[in-house]
Amino acid sequence: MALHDDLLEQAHHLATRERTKPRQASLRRAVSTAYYAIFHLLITETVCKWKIGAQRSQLARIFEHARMNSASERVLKQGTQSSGESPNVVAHLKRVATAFRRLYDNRQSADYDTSTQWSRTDVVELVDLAQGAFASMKAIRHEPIVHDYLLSLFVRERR
Amino acid sequence: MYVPRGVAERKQLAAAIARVSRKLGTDVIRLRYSVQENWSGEPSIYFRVVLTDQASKPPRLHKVAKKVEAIIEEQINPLHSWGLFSYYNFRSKSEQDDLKEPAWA
Repeated sequence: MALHDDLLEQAHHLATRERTKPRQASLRRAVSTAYYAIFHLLITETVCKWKIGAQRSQLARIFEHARMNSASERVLKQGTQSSGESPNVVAHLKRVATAFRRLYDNRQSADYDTSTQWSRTDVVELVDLAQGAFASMKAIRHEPIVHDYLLSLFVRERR
Repeated sequence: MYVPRGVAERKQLAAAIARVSRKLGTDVIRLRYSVQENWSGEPSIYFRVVLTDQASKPPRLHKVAKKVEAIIEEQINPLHSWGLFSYYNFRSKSEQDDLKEPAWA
C-alpha cells in the first residue's frame, strides 16, 4: 500500500481505539495523520506525472503546507461557472480542496493548540472527510482541471 | 483594508444563522459559531454542531454531518455571501456533557 493509504488507515485506527474513553493524544494524532494522508496523496498524484522516476522523491520535497493550503483556498474562491468543466468534476475537486483546507486548519489545532478538547465524533468525521477526498481524487485524477490544481500546489502564484 | 461582510454585518449574519439552524432537523441539538481568523490569517467562521448521540454514531454520522454542512453552505454560503471560510466541528450530546465546554453550550 502507498504511504497515503497507510496513513489514512492509521488515522482511522487512532480515531477509534480506546473504546470507552479516548485519549486526547490518540484523537490529536488521528487528526494530524488524516491531514498527512491527504498531504501525501496530493504530492503522490503530482509527482507521479513527472516522467523521470528517479527524480520523483526529490520533487516531492519541494511541497510546502501553506502554499498547498493557499492553492486549495483559491479553488474554492474561484466559483464553478468559468472553468467550462463538468459540474460533477468541479464538485469533486472542491471536495478535495475543502478537505485539504479543513484538515490543514484542524491539524494545526491538533498539533499546537493544547486548549482544544477533541471528541471522537469530531475526529471520526474529519477522518471521513479525508476518506471522501481520496474517493474524489480517484474519480477525477485524469481531468485537466485537476492537473492545474496539482501544479498550483507547488508553483508560486503569479501576481 | 478589506473587511468581509461576515465581519462588518455581525447582526445580519447572526440572523441568517438563526434562520438556518431551524432547518437542520432533529439530529442537531445546537448550532454555535464564532467568527475569527483561521491559522492562515483568513477571516473564517467556525461552526460547532452538537448532535444527538444516535446521530453521532458511524455510519450515520457522516450522512448527518454532510447534510448539516450542505444546508448551511447552501443557505448561508459563508465564503461567497459573507467572505468567510467555513469550518465544521461536531460532537455528540454525551461528549459535550462530559467535556462541558462553554463554547459548545
